[in-house]
Amino acid sequence: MNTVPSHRPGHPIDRAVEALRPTVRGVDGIDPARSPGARELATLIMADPRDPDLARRPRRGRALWAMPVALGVAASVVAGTFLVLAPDERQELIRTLTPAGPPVADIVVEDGFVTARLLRADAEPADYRAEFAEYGVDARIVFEPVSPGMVGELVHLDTDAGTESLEEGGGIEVEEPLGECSIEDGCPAVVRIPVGHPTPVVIGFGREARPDEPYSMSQAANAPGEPLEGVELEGVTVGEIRTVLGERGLDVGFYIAPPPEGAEGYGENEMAVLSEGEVGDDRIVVDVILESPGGVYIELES
Amino acid sequence: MPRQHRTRSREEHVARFEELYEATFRDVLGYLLRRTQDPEGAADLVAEVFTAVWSRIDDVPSGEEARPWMFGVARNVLANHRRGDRRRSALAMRLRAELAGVTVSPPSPEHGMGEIGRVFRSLSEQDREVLTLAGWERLDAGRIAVVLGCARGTARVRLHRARSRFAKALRGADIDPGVVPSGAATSTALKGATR
Repeated sequence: MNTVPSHRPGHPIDRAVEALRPTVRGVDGIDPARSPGARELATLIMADPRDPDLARRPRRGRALWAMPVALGVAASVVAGTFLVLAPDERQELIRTLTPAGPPVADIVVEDGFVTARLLRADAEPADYRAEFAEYGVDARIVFEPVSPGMVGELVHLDTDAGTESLEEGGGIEVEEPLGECSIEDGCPAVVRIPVGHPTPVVIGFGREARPDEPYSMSQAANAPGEPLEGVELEGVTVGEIRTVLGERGLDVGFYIAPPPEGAEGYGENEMAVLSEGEVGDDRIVVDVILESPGGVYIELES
Repeated sequence: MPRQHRTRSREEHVARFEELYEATFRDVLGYLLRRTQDPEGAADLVAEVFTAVWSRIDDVPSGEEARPWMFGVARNVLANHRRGDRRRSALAMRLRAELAGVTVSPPSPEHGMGEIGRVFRSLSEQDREVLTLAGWERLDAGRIAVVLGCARGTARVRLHRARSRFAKALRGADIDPGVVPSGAATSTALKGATR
């Protein structure tokens, strides 16, 4: 075997790779602060206003296109990739060229489990899947907009065998970040999947909904943590509940009620939809359903 | 965690860009030159990198994470370039001329580097990428994670596996992976101006 002693620091394999590093000569003379070529490049790049609204103005591309000509550059040169693209194409290209953001999770293998500490609720399920794939498991993480009392809760645990409870979930364990899961601040859940888990897994957590974003799941409006916690809903009048909702900053989007007896055009179990002006204060409430942040709809007795 | 952005003025954007440009220009250019061995082409690529960075200047992490983040952009630009046709950027016209004098020298085939290089090239592209980020750009697993846009643990695993596979391949070629030949990278220069 070749045996030449090395004095380079670091892992021996890294030193072997380092020895293969091509040497670049002549680049030291190119000072990004002073070199004419580097300065011209920086100036031309910063001539772009960056503002997406401005970028949508058609004149922007032409203005940048014209600049090299004004600088005496031959007109036959093809313009830079970014400048010949339509604004939408340009935004898409930039999105693909720049890193998506911080890592989605910290993953380690410990005690027979692939253990992931989730970091981001704005990541795509495929991003998580790519991370888990490195550890030999097929798992996706999804985040569903939910009502406040369900934020951080486990809302899905699906495998090839169908939707399962944690007890039936093939040894999968989770730590729910109750009350702490949002696009802005992340979702510090912990997911443990047995090493070598044989089937695809989809794990879902509830996250805070954006303003006006419909909930994909909600629970009773008076459940713990929900906006009407502690309020008796069943049997109260619409007038009473309107007062409570007003106090708590909730708007009623619409009402549903069994259709009037003999009314035509309704299917079996189909409810009539009523607007605010069609419902008097004396109607009786069956349930208040959380629809989105600040929005509910109300089910009425017939 | 997702980054929180505050609204910056144009002056602040320009100042941040200038700071990044001066701090990372040579590193980014070197990264591209080592991987393309094409000085003129690297001028076009470096223009694309910094144009993308300018468009996403608010997303560039602060401190030491900025440099690997820039390598991440360079990596994507390079991949995009390899998929498509060679594009010549008007933005980089004068820079391209300046880089015509730059040379990129592959390691010398003497000192056993030819054989080690052959073994290295037999590795998968993914393994070679993570190994060069560690060995050429001298990044640790945490910084490699920023370049690749993956979790720190994932980068650690990828680096560990790539090192193991390279070590095994070297042993298969009767090369002791625990020692490194000296005097690498002294071969005939590849002149960018004459390619």
